[in-house]
Amino acid sequence: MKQQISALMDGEPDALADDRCLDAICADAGLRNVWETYHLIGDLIRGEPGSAADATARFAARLASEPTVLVPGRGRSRASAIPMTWAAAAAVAGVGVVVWAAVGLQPERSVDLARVDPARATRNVAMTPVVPAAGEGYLLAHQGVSPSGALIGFSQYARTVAAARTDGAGSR
Amino acid sequence: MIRSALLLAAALFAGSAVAGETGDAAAWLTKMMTAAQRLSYSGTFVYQSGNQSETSRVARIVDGAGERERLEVLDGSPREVVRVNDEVRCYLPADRRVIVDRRGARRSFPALLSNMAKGLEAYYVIRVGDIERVAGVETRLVTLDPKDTWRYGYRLWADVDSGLLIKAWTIDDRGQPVEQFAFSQVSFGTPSAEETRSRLQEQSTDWRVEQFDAPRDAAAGEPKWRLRQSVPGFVKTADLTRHLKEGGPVVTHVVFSDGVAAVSLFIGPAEPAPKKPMASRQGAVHVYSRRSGELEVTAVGEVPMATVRRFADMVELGRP
Repeated sequence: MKQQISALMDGEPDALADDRCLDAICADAGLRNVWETYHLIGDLIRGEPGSAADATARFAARLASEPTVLVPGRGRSRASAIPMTWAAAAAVAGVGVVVWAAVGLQPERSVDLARVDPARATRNVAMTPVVPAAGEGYLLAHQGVSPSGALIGFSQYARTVAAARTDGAGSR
Repeated sequence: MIRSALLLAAALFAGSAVAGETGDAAAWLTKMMTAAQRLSYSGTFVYQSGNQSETSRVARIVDGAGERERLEVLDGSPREVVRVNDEVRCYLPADRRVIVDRRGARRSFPALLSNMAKGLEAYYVIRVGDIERVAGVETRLVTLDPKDTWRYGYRLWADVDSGLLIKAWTIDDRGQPVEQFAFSQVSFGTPSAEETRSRLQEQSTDWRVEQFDAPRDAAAGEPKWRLRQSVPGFVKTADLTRHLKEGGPVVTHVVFSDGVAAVSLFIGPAEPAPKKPMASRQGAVHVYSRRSGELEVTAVGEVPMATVRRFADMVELGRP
């Protein structure tokens, strides 16, 4: 499966045409971690590895512009196309190898990949913390139709107005 | 594949360990849903997501005149949400705005209720847990653990007597709460009428009023679209039209649900300014927008980001 994921990341047409790999990634937290880690490794290999925090922030920033790493854009326009296949192999052998390679590329900066938690980056940093323009519109509309919302009852509207808790945030 | 192995394992586990409890669990879920719709109560609760936490006061009256509810956020700016039957008004004092919406979709709930009793075990392992004391109330814990990662899990603590939900956690695939609602104090019985009346209405006379609901016939020339593939377990439960902002275009609003979680798809004309795909979240609710030509598709739901993204990506425009 790891080979298939790396093929997918390399944009191999066969892999892109096959939804099963994507489905598997979406359905399995372990595979999703692999997918996210490969992306992080890929970025580090392409240079610019800063501190762990920089890497996380950069990872997050890219995720924000490509909102999720779970499914690749069909027309992905990556600046670089370093094949991920060997990176995948290295990752199978141990992430340490890849960290070493990344550090080797930029010896003056230290990279502590162990401190970068890609999954955490995805969850906590990658997304805008509050719902942007027309956000309450979406939340309001959705809360009227969700069974889990019906269980929670009127209290769920705390979520709607939480998105608008500060001046102008979450509105316009 | 790993996913089917996981499903199989979950199904086997469900079959062996919980067979006797499933009926109980479904009965508890039905009891919770009924309590949420039929009871009058008031109380103070805490809403928490990530490092964000807000305390609110809520009061609800159900009687011959229908339903009246009021929620006031006690932290930060005193936002207020008031509902009288189908009409919901959000007062946002910091913005000097009032958002008005009509909840026309409420009638779709009975169908979901029966769906909950029957179809849920296909996608969740449902267990009835221990009795725990929450906010001074004896509660029964009911847990829903998803059999795949398309949906979140739930921990629900319901009042043993009435079935009212006292505490609710939404749990991610690592078992971490992504969102929590919990009463810190609750009083059963009808609160005073005053408690459900807006306190901001009088001072809001010169605030901007934004009307979000839209009649069906306003949607002349609705976009043609179809969903190539749904996410396992999600079926269409509502088909509506609405505005997403004051004076904005009418958009199609279609709802898909697995009986607990729901995803709303909004399909309508795109904003003139070009926009990249956009993702955001509020608590357990994720939002993902993408644009295709003149149209914009936005998926919103209390499901993981992968799920809203999947829905948005699976919409094929221009084909009814």
